[in-house]
Amino acid sequence: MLPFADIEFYLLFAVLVAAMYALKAIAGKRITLAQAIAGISLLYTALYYPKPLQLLLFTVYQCGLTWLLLFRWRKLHGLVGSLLLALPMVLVKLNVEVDLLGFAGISYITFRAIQVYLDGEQLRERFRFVDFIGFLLFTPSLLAGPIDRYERFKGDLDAGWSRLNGAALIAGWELILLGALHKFVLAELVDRYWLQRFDAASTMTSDMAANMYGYAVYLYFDFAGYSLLAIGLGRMMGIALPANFDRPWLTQNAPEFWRRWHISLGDWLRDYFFRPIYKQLSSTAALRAWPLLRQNIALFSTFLLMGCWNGLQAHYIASGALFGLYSVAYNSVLHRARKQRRELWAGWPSPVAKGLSILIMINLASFALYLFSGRFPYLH
Amino acid sequence: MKQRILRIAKWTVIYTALGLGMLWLHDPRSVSMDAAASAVKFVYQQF
Repeated sequence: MLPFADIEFYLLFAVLVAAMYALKAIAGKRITLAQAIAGISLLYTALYYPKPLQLLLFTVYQCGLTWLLLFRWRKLHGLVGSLLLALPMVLVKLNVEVDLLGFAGISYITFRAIQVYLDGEQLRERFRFVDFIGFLLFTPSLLAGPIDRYERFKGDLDAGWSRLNGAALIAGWELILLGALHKFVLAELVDRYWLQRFDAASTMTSDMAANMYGYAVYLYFDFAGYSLLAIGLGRMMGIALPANFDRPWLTQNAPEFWRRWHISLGDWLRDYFFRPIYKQLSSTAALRAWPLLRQNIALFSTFLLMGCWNGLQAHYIASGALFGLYSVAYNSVLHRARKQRRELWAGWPSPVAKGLSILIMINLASFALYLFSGRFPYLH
Repeated sequence: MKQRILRIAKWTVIYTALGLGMLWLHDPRSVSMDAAASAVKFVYQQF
């Protein structure tokens, strides 16, 4: 059973949602929503997830380590603690052959655990294992996000069974329909009648352009569709997962692109990688007089890390590095314009400037995603 | 009233497109993701 892909997955989910509503009616006074979410997530993991033992052992590792870092090893540097939490994921990314670590969803669980650890000052008093397990393993977002935040997730849990109501069912159903339309119809159409008609290995300019734009459109429909499905299923279970896409093709610059495309990953990287690095660089005496350089180093490192996280193959790293270069270039041009006290597109009518920015960004983003796809014939 | 009509029109289009698309593109007895490089498959089949 392939999650989000096979009809069995949706039938199983209908049963899980029905079980939640039955629990609310039968045992709503004895069991909390948090316990029900944690229980159902564990049950799904144990019975239907491939390699459930690995995932459950990893969850025990993350729970134990997060507890130690939050309550016992409080003086440990945040970077060291984060690396300890990320260690299994890093080993997987480095292709270290450890059978215990090879399972889908390891990255997203790690991101969630690191968020809880790094926000520990605000979360320590509100930390509860049952909430944390539900947060780590929440079935709709277990595989590939969206990456929720603990305090927001816990807010939904604390609201209790009232989160499960007719409005949530209707809202979830509508999101699921939209997601299915994106993923099973639009992405499928693009794949079948556009991408598959062009040879990915061809070096003809027209074929490469068709592959580039086709893949960008395909990936958008596929991933935005998956995200809508995950958010819709979550909504039906009483959890309002954050939106993951917001009209990314209307983006006017590279940093904005990642505030509209895979938003939860972009936000996570900004808060838990870019900002700590920038803070660290700001405290470095040699860079104190170079704010633009500090920003650009932090920006480039963030996007390079994102590329490496996808995999250590050249096309992922190149794609991340290219997004980094786009951001550095935009940041530098913007910095210069501000220094000269002028608008970035000074002298251009606003609609023309906006249209040109969008057009440029569509092409830049499509090319970076083309590299990411592995279809670019000169990079393997 | 106008908003209600727009909402009905929007969901009519969505239901129609989804229904026709699913019938046309997929085996109705077994919805499966054929697309070669789907995001879910990408994550799932790395392991």
